[in-house]
Amino acid sequence: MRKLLKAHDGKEVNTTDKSAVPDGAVPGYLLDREGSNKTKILSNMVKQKRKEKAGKWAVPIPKVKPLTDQEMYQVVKTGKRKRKMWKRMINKACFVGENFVRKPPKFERYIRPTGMRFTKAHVTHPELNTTFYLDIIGVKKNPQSSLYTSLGVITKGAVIEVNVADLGLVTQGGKVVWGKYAQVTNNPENDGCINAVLLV
Amino acid sequence: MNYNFKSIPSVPSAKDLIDTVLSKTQRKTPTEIHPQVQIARIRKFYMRKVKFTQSTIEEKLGEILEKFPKLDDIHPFYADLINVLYDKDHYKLALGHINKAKSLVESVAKDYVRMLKYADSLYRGKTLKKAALGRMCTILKKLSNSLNYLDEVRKHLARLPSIDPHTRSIIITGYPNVGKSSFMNNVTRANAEVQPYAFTTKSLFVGHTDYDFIPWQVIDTPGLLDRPIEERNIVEMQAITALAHINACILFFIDISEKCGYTVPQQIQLFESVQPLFTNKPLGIIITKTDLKRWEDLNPEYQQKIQEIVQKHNAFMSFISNENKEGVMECRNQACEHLKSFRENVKTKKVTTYGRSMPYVSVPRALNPSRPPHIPDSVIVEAQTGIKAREGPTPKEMQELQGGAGVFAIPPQAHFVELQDDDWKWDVMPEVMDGKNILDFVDPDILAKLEELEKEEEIQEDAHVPLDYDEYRDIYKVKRKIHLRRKRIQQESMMAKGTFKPKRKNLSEVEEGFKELGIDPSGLKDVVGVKRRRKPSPEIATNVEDFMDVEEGDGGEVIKKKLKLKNKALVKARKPGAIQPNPSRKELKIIGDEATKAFYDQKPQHIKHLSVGKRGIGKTDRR
Ligand SMILES: Nc1nc2c(ncn2[C@@H]2O[C@H](COP(=O)(O)OP(=O)(O)OP(=O)(O)O)[C@@H](O)[C@H]2O)c(=O)[nH]1
Ligand SMILES: [Mg+2]
Repeated sequence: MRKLLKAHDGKEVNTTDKSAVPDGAVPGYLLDREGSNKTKILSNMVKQKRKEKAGKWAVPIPKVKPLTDQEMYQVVKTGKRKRKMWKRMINKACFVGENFVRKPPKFERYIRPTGMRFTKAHVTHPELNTTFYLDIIGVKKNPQSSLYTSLGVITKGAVIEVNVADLGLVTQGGKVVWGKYAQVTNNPENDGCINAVLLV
Repeated sequence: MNYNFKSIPSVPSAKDLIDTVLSKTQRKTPTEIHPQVQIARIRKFYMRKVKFTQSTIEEKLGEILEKFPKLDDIHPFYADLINVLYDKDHYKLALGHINKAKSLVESVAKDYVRMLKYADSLYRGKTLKKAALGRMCTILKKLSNSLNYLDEVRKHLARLPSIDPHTRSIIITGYPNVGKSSFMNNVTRANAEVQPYAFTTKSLFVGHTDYDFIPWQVIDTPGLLDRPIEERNIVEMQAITALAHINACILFFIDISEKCGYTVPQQIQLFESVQPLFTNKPLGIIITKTDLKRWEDLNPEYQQKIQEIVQKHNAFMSFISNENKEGVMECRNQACEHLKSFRENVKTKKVTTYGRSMPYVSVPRALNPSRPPHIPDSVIVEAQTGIKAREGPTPKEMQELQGGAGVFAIPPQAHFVELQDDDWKWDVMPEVMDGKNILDFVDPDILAKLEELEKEEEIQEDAHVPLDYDEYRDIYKVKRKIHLRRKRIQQESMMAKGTFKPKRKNLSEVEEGFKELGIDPSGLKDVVGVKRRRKPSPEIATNVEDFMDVEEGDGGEVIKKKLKLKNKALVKARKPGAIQPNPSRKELKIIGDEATKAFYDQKPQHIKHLSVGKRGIGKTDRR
């Protein structure tokens, strides 16, 4: 542990920057500074690791436009006087699990209408250049917010897990891969279908 | 059924279909919408477009499906002809493809309309509509091949001769080049091509001739070669379908001059091989080109052979020459006569077969009423002595040994009853042997049993004596008594429980009850009073025509109509005993004049704001 911390601490070094030293006469109190610079040098290992991590998450669509709450859902008024406004109806494409059971409607905070639920996606394999119509297993990450991830909202840039059992992909160990991540590349709520690129 | 395939409308190509559908959507649905209007209106606007496109596509595809003949419904002759010419599987596949596309478009529209319900902006509605229409068009684009194929089929179907498979017809057949088309040209006004080489005629041709003041259909077929049916080409197969399915007089042409390129024995051989198609049809053997070679000059051996055929098939024989038109008309007359008498025979036969009285069905009684359980002797012996009568495993045990049900099946032979020689069980049983199969030997004394049944039936029929009127009445009386007694008991128990509610009865019923109890009911009428009667309405009496001088001009006709309707409605309503349906709204509106007209289907307009719409946050008496 101590070793690890040390590695991350880096080495304290003093470097001199010649260009930072002004030409000509220098007042006495500045004489021994000589443009010295105190920095930490990170170890190579740490550098490499950071790079790797960045590479792992390089996705086809690295940035998405943030969506406002208004765009994500619509407030549903409830109560006898229609004064309560704590219900939300999500009007984006959603994925709900196969055996999802709704809460009693009275207490359901987030309504995911059946009309906007999707179970399948058109997934393109970037190397094979072919598209498959695959079952969605789950929503891994919605870049808009973690709330949407947990609700299974699928917007552009969301990373979904798809069932690739039919593709016959095999791991190095020889096992058949059946779940793989894919990033959504279109706006499902506008197109009425989900297009995604497989992350390989 | 009409076999006019010319009326099938042309099938558009996929591209044209897409163009028409989209432009129709553009023309027939509203085109302007603004982002600031109510979202509900925007949704409706786009939903309408999607639905409209879907219904247009459905209509177009439905028309194609409806107009093309269904092979299972049309006459087998045409069904087979279509199979020969266009390949039945291909044809059905193409129509199936279109049917499938129709349902796919339907499901796409359904999905997108559902998604449009959640559209929250004009942009989203628009993109969803675009996606929906795009997907529908893609489905249509994929139909391209089927549509092209169907259009080709339609074009070809329209050019088929209009053969009616049910009328009196004469079919001409034989080797190629024997003079079939020449004969048809001579007896009808058709103008088929005649050339001195084989297979001049490549499809069916039809002509009409008049004999005995009725029209006869003459069908010229392509020539046939003597080869098995699998090797026949499309041209020959057309002739075969006509021969197989049309009940007609068949004229088999034999060219005795052998100028057609085929010898007489070859032609006789052809006759023998296609002869199964001629069974139960009137047949004529026509000797042609007698100008080149006379019948008398023919080899006597062949002569005899042909004569034999004529004898065997009960055919007629005719000699013609198309060159100098000798015997042509006689041949036609003979053929027509032959067919006529044949058809008459068939008709009279049909009448006799249907003339029998309705067959009756009787449930046969078991011949041997006591049927004790059957326990094989071996089992009884085994149970008594404990010695196994059988060696080795039973078939059931065998099955378990070999891997259980599903893996090993008990051979059916194992169940066969004892034969003289046990080894016979495993003999291979041919389905047909010496021209007979096993069913021919089943139950030889069936007729005797039938007779017995019929006798039994007769006895039963004799035994049945209908009840006479007195007996009926007695039974009815007893029944009535039982009914009344039960009713009384029921009522008494209800009275005891306090749940009895007397039913309202009309006078006659009460009177009857009094009579039954032995009380004079004559005073009853005065107590109850006379039944009220409705006064006849003056409206019925008024004649429609009396109103007529009130209004003239443009409105007159309308009022007249209204009054007529009104009177009708009233008369209908007043008719005693008529079952009165609830008057429709339209009728209700018409009854009553302008002043007393009730607003049956209108909400009070001036206070509409009090009763219509959702309640929001706020007061309960305003909306
Ligand atoms: N001399 C003579 N020639 C005939 C007679 N009938 C037909 N022909 C000739 O035979 C040839 C063939 O006649 P078609 O009527 O075309 O024969 P087809 O049986 O219709 O032939 P396909 O259509 O090829 O099956 C023509 O050259 C006719 O002129 C006849 O009675 N006498
Ligand atoms: Mg011909």
